[in-house]
Amino acid sequence: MYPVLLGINGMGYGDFTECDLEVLPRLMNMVERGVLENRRPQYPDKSWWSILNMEPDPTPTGDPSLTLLVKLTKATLVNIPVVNPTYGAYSIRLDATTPYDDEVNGVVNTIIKSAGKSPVIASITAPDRFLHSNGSIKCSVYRAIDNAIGRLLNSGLSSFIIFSPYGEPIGPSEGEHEDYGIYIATISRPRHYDTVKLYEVGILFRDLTESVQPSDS
Amino acid sequence: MVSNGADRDPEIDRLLEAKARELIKKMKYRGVVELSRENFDDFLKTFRVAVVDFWATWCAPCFMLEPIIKRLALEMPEVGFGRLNTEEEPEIAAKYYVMSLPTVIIFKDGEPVDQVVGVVPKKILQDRIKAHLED
Repeated sequence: MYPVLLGINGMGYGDFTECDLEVLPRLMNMVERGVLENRRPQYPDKSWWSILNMEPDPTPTGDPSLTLLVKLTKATLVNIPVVNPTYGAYSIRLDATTPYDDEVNGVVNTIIKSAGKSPVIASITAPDRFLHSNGSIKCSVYRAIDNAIGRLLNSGLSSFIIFSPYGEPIGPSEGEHEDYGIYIATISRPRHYDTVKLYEVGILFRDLTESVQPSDS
Repeated sequence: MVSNGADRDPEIDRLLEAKARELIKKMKYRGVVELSRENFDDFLKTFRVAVVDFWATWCAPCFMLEPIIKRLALEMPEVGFGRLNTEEEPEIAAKYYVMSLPTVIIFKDGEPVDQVVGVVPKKILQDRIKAHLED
């Protein structure tokens, strides 16, 4: 399989403990781990343009497939929330019409199908879509994501960056999240005693695709 | 029977005032307190047993420990809970020989009496804190 960049919009390490997750806590002890920093207010489209353009303060371009990261990696895009509905091989409306487990499974199935042919850049938007208004389902959403990542790893994925462009949603406002997200990857973060910045995720994924051959299976 | 001001013992009044001041101070440090050089010593003096979580923004396990500390702060109101960003206050971290993160130091009467390095289950941390409340 080719490398995969998977962003979970709105997740922090505290959720691992609070929700008793199984896969991600184990995974973070096996590969590189770090903290992604992105200060409030954080919006999904602005965050993802930064990653796709590999720039701290990007100018949004109309077509995500024309961004620098996609040109350099020739990656397949899956459910990228730079437009509404999301962009890519799997796409949903950025509201509550698609149940969180449908989205999580749809994204992971598309990644598994696509990563045999090219690198994949994918996003899961469920925490952002549901947890601003309904905190009571928080752990159900995070457990669904945790299980799906387990399935993705079992499918033979060996080169990846799993990150969140910002932490858990706080309050009802769209741009309000914890400032710190997750970074769990098979490529080292740029500096040990520092957080990973959003635009660096794009650069790291470019480096990852350049450095690895697709794995078997 | 209603007491009037004349038969109140001044010693009891002083004790009550001191207790009230202590309670007001403890109210100031409710929940998990963000510590810095400005309030660190005062925080330690306020509680017989205080717990300080030493952390840094780049430390992923530190964020895993955060909900555990928050939960303990709710469950153990008699204990002071604080967190200190070691990047912002390296001198305090160095004073207590904090070498790895996260490190939790338990203080009793202002002095460090125990420390826990890394993320541990809530029960383990709670038992370590309780041990210092009992003796």
